[in-house]
Amino acid sequence: MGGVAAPPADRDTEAPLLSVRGVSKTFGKLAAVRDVSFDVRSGEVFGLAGPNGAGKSTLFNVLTGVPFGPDPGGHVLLRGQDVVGRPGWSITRAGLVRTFQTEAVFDDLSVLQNVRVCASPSALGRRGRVAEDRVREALETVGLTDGDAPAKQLSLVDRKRLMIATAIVSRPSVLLLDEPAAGLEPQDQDQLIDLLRTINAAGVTIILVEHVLRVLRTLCGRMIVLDAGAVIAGGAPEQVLADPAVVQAYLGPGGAA
Amino acid sequence: MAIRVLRLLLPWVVFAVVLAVLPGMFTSAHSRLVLIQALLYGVLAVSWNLTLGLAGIFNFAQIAFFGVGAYSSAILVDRTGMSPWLAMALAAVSAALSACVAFLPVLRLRGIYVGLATYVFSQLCIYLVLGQSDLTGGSNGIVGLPDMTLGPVNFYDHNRYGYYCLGAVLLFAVCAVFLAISRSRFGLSLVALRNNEQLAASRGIRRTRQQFLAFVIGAAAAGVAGSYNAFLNSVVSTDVFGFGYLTILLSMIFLGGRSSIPGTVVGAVVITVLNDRLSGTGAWQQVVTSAIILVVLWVFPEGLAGAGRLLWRRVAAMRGRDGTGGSPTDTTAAAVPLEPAAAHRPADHA
Repeated sequence: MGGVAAPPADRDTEAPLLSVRGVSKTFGKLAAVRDVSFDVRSGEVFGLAGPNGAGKSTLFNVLTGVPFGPDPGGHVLLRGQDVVGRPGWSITRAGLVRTFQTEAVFDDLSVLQNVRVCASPSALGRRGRVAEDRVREALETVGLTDGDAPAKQLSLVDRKRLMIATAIVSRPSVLLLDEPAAGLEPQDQDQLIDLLRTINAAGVTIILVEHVLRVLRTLCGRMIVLDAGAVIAGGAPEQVLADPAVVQAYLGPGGAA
Repeated sequence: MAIRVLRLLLPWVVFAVVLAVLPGMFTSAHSRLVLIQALLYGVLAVSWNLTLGLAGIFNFAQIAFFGVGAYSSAILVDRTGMSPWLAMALAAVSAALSACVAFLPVLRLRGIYVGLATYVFSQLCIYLVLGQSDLTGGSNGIVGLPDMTLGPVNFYDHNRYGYYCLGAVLLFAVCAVFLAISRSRFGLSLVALRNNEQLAASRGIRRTRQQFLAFVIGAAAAGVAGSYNAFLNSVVSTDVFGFGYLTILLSMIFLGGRSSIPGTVVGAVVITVLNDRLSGTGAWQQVVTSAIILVVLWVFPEGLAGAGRLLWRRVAAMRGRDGTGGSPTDTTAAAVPLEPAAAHRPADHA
């Protein structure tokens, strides 16, 4: 990720890179995401936590338009431009790139082909050679060495790495990671933390959905917690995770006592 | 570098040599016709493989594109006296245009529903042809199309030697172009969409555009094949839209191996020759052909191409054991333990 320019330093005065305003998603009578608003500043790692079924993954879906956008009325402003209503591929090309909870890769392609297809010249300004350099760079960043290996034969950890490589090859402005540490051993979690730090240091803003609190505490400067689709707390991780409302959301009524 | 280029070119040189030598080995009118049929089916099956195999779209409109190509070139030559060569080029265009219509259901539908909608499209083509009998000859078709010529050479002469050569060139070209497509980023994006549409969308791949292009490119090639078929037989009828072509091509693709171009060509040759050999046996023709396809798919789900790959890995594994090669990326080869090879050393037997 060598050649990426670092984001401007004066974070407090600049406009947020991503501004989510009043985003909801309803399925029939079920409100999966309810009037969620938050700002993400350029260059930060922003945490998103909440118990199972809180609407974290649905929020990722509606932010990136894959596979669906939010209900009418909400706004997702990337550098001030509303991306709501645009198809998923277009939001991706605008710089909002997500990963999935399960280790999704293209099984019938090799490792190299997986990354190459995500660095299409049309996404990178029709410069094939630049795209090839970025493919190599992305694989080096995540630490995958055997480009010819079939993706379907990779281990869980390597599939996660490959998924992240396919996400960073297009140099997104905001990388939305959906539980990247799930199912990893503690030493693999440490490697993941290092990897995410490297990606972040290269100028990629990260929104991190995670259940592993250690990872959230280590990486995030700020975070919010969702419960039943709504934001119930926000701020620095230590402060948020000690919030009685958050403890109760995770442990149920009486859990805070 | 030179060895890499050689390895890349060698299969194509062999393919070209085989295509050049075959008509010399099969000179009778009948065997030449069987060869030409194999070429025609090969072109059509490879063109279909782009959507059906590589992109994984249940596109059953390929036969319609073949028929539209046949009819449009026949009508153009019949009505305007146009050169068959120009008509063949325009057949590609008209088939590609019909693909724009056939693609509409793919915008919204997925999976087997695309199969149903595109099959209905081919059936509608039959009714369109029958309904426009002034232009298409209705159920009589269009007969007496002129033979193709190149300068003084009539393609029908010498047991259709000219048609054989044109078919061979078409097959070679279609294989080369479609192989290049399957290895390009465009081809990779079709596989990506086939594997995981949501992941592909979240990586900036445009499903509609990529699959539309696959439809149109496949259709153009099928249109040329349809035109070739019309001039070869000097007649065109609604048979070109029929279920017979559909099933025979599907058997070729499945026997050969979906998304494998060499497999598809081999499948086309095997089925064409098999059908010819069994042509006097009545219903047994279908029974034997189906039984062979079922057995092959049972043993090798990826068809003859899968069998070939398996054999190649075995050979590579054996070479690896001898210490003479074996790709480190070939996991099958790598998974073979090295100890048994040591057991074959003469010293161990002493």
